[in-house]
Amino acid sequence: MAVVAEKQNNPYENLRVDLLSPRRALLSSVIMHGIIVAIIIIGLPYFKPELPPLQQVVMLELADISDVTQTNRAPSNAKKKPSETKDEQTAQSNKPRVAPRVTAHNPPKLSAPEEPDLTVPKKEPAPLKAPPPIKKPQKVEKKPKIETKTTKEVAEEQEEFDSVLKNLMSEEETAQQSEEDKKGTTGPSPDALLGQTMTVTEVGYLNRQISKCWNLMAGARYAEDLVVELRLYMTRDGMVRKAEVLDRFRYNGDSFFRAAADAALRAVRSPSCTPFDLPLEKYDQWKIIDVTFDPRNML
Amino acid sequence: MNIIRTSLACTLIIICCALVPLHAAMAQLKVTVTDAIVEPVPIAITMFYAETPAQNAIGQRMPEIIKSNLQRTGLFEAVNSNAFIQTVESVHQDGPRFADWRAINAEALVTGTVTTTPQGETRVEFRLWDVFGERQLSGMAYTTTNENWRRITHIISDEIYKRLTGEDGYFDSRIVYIAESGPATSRIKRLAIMDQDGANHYYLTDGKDLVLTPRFSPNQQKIAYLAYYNNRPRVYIYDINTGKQNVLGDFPGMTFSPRFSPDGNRVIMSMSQNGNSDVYVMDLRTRRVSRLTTHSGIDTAPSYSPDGKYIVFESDRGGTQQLYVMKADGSDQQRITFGKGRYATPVWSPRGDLIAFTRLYNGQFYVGVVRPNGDGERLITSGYHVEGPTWSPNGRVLAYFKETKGTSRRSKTANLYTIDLTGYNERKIATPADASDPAWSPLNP
Repeated sequence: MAVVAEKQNNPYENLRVDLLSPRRALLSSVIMHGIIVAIIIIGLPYFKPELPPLQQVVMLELADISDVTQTNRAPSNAKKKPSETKDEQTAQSNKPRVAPRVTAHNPPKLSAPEEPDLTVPKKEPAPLKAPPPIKKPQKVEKKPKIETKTTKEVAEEQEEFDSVLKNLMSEEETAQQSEEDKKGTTGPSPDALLGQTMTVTEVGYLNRQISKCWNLMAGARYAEDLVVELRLYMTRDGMVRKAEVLDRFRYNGDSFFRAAADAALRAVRSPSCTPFDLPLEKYDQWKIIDVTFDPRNML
Repeated sequence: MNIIRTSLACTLIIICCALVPLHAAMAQLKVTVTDAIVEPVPIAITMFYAETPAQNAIGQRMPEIIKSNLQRTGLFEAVNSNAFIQTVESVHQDGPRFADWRAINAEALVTGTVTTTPQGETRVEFRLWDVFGERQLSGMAYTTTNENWRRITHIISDEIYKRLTGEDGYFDSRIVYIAESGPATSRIKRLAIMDQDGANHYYLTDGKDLVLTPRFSPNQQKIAYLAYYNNRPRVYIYDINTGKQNVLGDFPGMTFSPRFSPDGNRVIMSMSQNGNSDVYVMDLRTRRVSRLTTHSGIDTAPSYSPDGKYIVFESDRGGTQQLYVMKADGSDQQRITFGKGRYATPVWSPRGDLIAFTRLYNGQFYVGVVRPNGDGERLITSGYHVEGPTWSPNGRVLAYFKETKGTSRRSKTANLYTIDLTGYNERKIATPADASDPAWSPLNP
């Protein structure tokens, strides 16, 4: 009881609390403001993100290996020279030997069940058929390119004079033959002996061999314009000794055509489809083959 | 006269000489191949040769990312590295032995080396080889800071893609989107940015204010978007380089659904006033605003054609929500879709050949494409809720978001997906949380 009375009679205790409360309020106000400032500072990085700026990359085109061998390049490249050329040579000399061995590996690749994908290009809309007013100028360029293709070749590549004529002929023949044979067309030379002429069946078989390895990239832009013509120089064992793209001008200038032509070149060089199964007695008829890769039916 | 005669004779001789090989060359077979297979191209990507452990860490990871980039396109298939016959060291010393790569059915081969420059920067060399043709298709060297190796990897992927398909790549690009978290009633939405493959993820806003519909500038590191600051929805521009956000103009009504013009100098958007929405365009240099539509219907979601001459937008003026195309000055407004249901969020392809859109029909959402004249409509994906397509910089792939119902009645998850124009190659983009409203950037500068 005495203790309680003493406490009640102590007037200073309440007074001290009263005197201190404004100071506390000030202190807590300072602390609170401090917290707010801290939140702003810590919160700010959301608005000043840690996102680092994009850094630049210095680019340099590397020359083809064969170019490197012939020019004075940096020592590191120079070192590569002899071995690389040697290797390329060995690789080439291996080519005929390797091919049959490789053919054995083919079935797994071809067995990939991609059949549904064959319908893909059909679904792909033909971008060039966009309405005329909305066409980009770039696209407009594409069409004339094809139409004037042969003229360009004549003008710019004189050594391709004969190939230009042949392109036109092959087109004419294609048009005629396509009515007879939807799958493949053949143009036996006019001076070929009747018995030596390749039959429609033989040509159709060759056609199927090539189309098995011609991989059309789904969704390629302007695919309907990318008709590629190759000239193949064949060895007697049905291998492609040399393959050249007839429209070299377009190959060098149009990245879409170049990609399409490379795909055609891969088809005729693929170990899955070469050597071509062709009658040896008619070698004279197929020692040079002009192949037209026409994707328009696939779209 | 003599000179003329001689030159005439010479010309005749030359023509005769030219005709001889021509005649001989005619004795050849002609074949037209019209059938093809459509398969991914098998490509072998070796580890990149490196000498130090630090370089090796990059040399091991780069090929993995290139592989992932190329495989996501659906056009390429990486050959299993366990099948490789030639070693990385051997390739580095002697170049590729093409027979070894043919033997494992690789049609293309990617090799590379990682070195360090005297200045301490990383130098990456890569070469793309045509295995059957036994030649180099492409070779590039890139020098940059050590941390920037991922970007080089995307640039290399773009180079490979372009050389083999003919069209520009899209790997060195980013996607900005709305990251969502929290319960459905109080959803937190933040602006986020990442590389197109989901790496290098950053949040740009803190989620205090609701943000929607981000759109990338075609040529600057800027994003236009809708934000509800102080509960007032308006269009803002976010500068990625400085982190600054500015409100776009001071309009009397609510502004929404912004999109940049192809030259980046204008922003086209909708403004709603007295219950009517119309399309407006603001010149960012002069801040001048022009009204493009005046119809009493709701006109919104405008998007420019890549040449800047036309604008596609959605409108319900015909009774249902459909797509319309008009000239950039607002004249010549033509309806292009007439299908059942509702069409929304049209966006013009950077190629210019197609317009992507969302369609709602019979309670099902679809993402589709249509030619600018309204022909050839094709729905390429569908779902409980798929919406908001955005084009990759090369116009071959679409990104969009897909909401799926969760296990409980109210729960939903939203994710970003990409699909190519064939419609057969849909892939999910991994994000840390739920994601919606993606916007693809142009190729990085």
